[in-house]
Amino acid sequence: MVHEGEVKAAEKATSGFEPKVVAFCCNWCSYAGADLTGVSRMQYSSNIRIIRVMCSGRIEPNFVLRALELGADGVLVAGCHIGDCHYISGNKEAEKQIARTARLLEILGVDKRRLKLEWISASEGQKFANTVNEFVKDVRTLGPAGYGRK
Amino acid sequence: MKDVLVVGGGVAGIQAALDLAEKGVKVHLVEKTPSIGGRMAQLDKTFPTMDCSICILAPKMADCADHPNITMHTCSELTGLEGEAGKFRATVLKHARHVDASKCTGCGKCTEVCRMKGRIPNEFDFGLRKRGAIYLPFLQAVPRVMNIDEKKCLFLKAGKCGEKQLCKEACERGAIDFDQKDETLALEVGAVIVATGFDLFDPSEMFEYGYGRFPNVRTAMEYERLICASGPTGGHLEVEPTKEHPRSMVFVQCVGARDLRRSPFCCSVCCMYATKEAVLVKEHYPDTECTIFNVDMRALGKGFEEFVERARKEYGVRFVRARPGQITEEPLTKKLAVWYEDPASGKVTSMEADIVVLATALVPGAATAALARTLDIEIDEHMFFKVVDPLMSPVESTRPGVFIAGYCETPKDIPESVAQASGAAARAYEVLVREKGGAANA
Amino acid sequence: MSDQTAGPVEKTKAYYCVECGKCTGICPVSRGLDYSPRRMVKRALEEPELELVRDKQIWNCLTCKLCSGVCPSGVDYIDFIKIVRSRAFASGLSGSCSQGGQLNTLSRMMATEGPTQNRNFWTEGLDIAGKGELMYFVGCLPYFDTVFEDLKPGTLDIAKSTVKILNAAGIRPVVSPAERCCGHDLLWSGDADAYRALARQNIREIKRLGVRTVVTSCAECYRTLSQDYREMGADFEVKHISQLAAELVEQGKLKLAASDRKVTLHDACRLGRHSGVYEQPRDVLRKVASLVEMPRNRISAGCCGVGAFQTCGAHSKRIQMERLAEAGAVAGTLVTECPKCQIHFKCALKDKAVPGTSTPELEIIDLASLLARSLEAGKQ
Repeated sequence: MVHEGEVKAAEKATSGFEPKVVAFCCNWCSYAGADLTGVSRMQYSSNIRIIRVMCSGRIEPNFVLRALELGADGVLVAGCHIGDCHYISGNKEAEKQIARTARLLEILGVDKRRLKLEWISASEGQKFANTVNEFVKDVRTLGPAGYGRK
Repeated sequence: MKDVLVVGGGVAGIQAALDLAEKGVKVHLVEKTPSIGGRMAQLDKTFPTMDCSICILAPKMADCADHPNITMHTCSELTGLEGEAGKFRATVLKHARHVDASKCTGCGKCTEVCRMKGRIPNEFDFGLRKRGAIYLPFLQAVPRVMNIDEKKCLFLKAGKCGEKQLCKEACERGAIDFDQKDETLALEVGAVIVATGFDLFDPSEMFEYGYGRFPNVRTAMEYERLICASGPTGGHLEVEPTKEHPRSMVFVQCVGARDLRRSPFCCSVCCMYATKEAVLVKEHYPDTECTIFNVDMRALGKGFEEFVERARKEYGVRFVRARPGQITEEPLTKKLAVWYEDPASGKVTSMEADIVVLATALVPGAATAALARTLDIEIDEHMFFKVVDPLMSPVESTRPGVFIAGYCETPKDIPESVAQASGAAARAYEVLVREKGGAANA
Repeated sequence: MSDQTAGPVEKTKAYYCVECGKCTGICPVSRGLDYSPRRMVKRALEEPELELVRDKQIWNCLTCKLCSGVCPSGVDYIDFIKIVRSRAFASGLSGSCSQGGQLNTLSRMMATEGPTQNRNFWTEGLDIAGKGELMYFVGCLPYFDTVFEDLKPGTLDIAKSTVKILNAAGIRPVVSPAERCCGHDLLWSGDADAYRALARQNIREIKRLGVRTVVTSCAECYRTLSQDYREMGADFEVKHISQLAAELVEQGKLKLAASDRKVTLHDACRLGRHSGVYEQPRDVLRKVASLVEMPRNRISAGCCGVGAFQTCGAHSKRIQMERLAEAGAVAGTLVTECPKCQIHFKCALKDKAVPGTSTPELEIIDLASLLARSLEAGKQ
């Protein structure tokens, strides 16, 4: 979570900055959940770009790194709850890969908070909206990631 | 009429000496090894006629020895040349062979008792045979006089050879003379002919071929000695370690030659001698597979192309247009695998071989630069002697009165060397005649 | 010859090629894949607009330099491939990079001016300096242990060991947090612009710190810093840790404990054939172990099977297993001079053996790690 004080300070420093956030959503749970959000007319930040993958376990470090390299300021990875993965253990793999990616970001000097892993089921439309909105707020506070094609 | 000095006792030097001697000129034939004959004496057969090399050379060698106008100075080197065409003063250093040439009959009894017998690799057979400290370089050596290797003779090196010198005891003519000293000769000559031939590139540095590490990888000259009936194995090709004859042989061309990092030039004889060597294998062992890996087939002389076709059609020698990238050895059997890109299929494949023969580059000897300085003539960047006009007068060196013949001028085969030697002899004779006061175009 | 072909052919003297195929005959990749250096050069010479860039095979080369070692025409094939790849990359083509391409992405991200890395986390407890004349160039070592977690590659141990060795000889090396990837993999996979960005920044930082000598524990960094960086204006001296350690032992500044443990040394392509450094690693290795040579050593040494993480595949595995079998036949420990070689060999050992072969019992350890262990042993 990003601190209140940071929010105030960041709002002063980066006024006008709108973060670009990429969301990798797994086909069976979180993407369906995002669908539900939309169908239910719940509002969520337009800063988000959703990319559907079949399973959160497909996400490897390079997806996150490339997103940041190409100009994303934050990456959200959303998958099924543990035990509910359509491919049984795909989300476990996601945990491992995201942990590894977070470590790489740490060494790179990228704030780990720019990467978030969340479990969102197909029925959790509200959770999807909340997660996205919170995350975009946090990333806005953190400011531009600093990479991005010129 | 003045004398002529010929430096180098190979076939070119011998031919030039004989030509001049026949004209009545006195010739000094200087050779640094103990016998004349040079490289041609080391070959088994010559292409394309498949004559026995030493058989056609030995009569000429004997002529040199017998001819009243030729004085041979073996174990000798040229150390100075002053003066000018028609009036040279040559200094020749004659190393002591510690055997009195006037007494030695070449009977060989001394070689049988020498304490170093069978311990020293002999130069003529590229180390494939061993000799003693007192030796004759090869069977048909001319002059047939023994000589003692100062660096290996126990008495000359350490002052002591057991209780007594066995060679001296065995010699019935009292020819052995440990006190013999090097001699310096001052020769007044009218012209000089240089015919110093070539040395062989050592392929040990080419890691990809394994020469020096794999016993069955040989150089072409080593092969000549092995296939020769008077060679170390009596003409039998023996595969290590079984000593059986080879069932498959591979010849690799241009080893160190046409190589921009080593000798960029073409040695002109290797395509032909490899074909000849493959044909020899087939004559000895008709069932043995022979494959020659080459880039081009340079068959330039009379009858050469026909010889290559005969090798292909009648003897079944195979030619593959590729350079092997690597030769590997199976450690237990010592069998070789030759890796190459097959030009037809484009696939990389390996060919099994019992023996691989490398056609190594033939290069001017290492001492050539020093000799060129002594003679005061120019050499090019590969150490070949420069001729003043390569087109119209390819025997004249850059110093008037000094002529060149044979491989040391540029790569060539035996017939070309002999022809050039006769040319050099004729031009040298002109100098003598001019000096004597005759001839119109002085 | 068009402008397109002029570069790769003229700069590397490829026009001297006589199509003898000797390069292909010795190429380790050609034994496993339908790949031929000779064909690559032939196409460049024959096709007017370098259509070669669209050929997937240009990404197969290991850049191990065995071919250049035997080419009678002196064609610099690996330089040729490097330039062809950069032309390909400029037209939007690229090879397949292992690990999903994350290593190249990391390198490119490091090329961005601005974000500072946290790359010195491993230096805790070690004696390093902020400014000085001798710098330890760490390269990508801080990342490898994470990227290759599953292999337990021990690459951070190489970094720590290197500093330990220097400390033991009384040297406090500069280890800069502003250092970044040397750019080797980007240079050899065609991304010349990103490589140059990295080079510029590294050279600037090295100059800023007043560094005269750079020491590295990676053979690829060594080659890049000592050769490629020269063209970018670098003038500092570069040494591999094996060279510096050999010198320090000679000067009596480094004491190592001897042992009769049998080891064999794998000559890294970048340190060996690329840079001609063969003897100093052996000199220092003999001080801490009993060195036995493999049949293919020094200039004829085999490659670790992958170059710049391009096109890793079954043929790489074959090359690796052959080399490991060669090592296993002479010693129980294989010493490497480059973290990449270590990673590739450990990866090969981890997989099931190629049918018809067996995986040798072999310990793989970096030279710096081995020397540091011997320091420890000496203290006891």
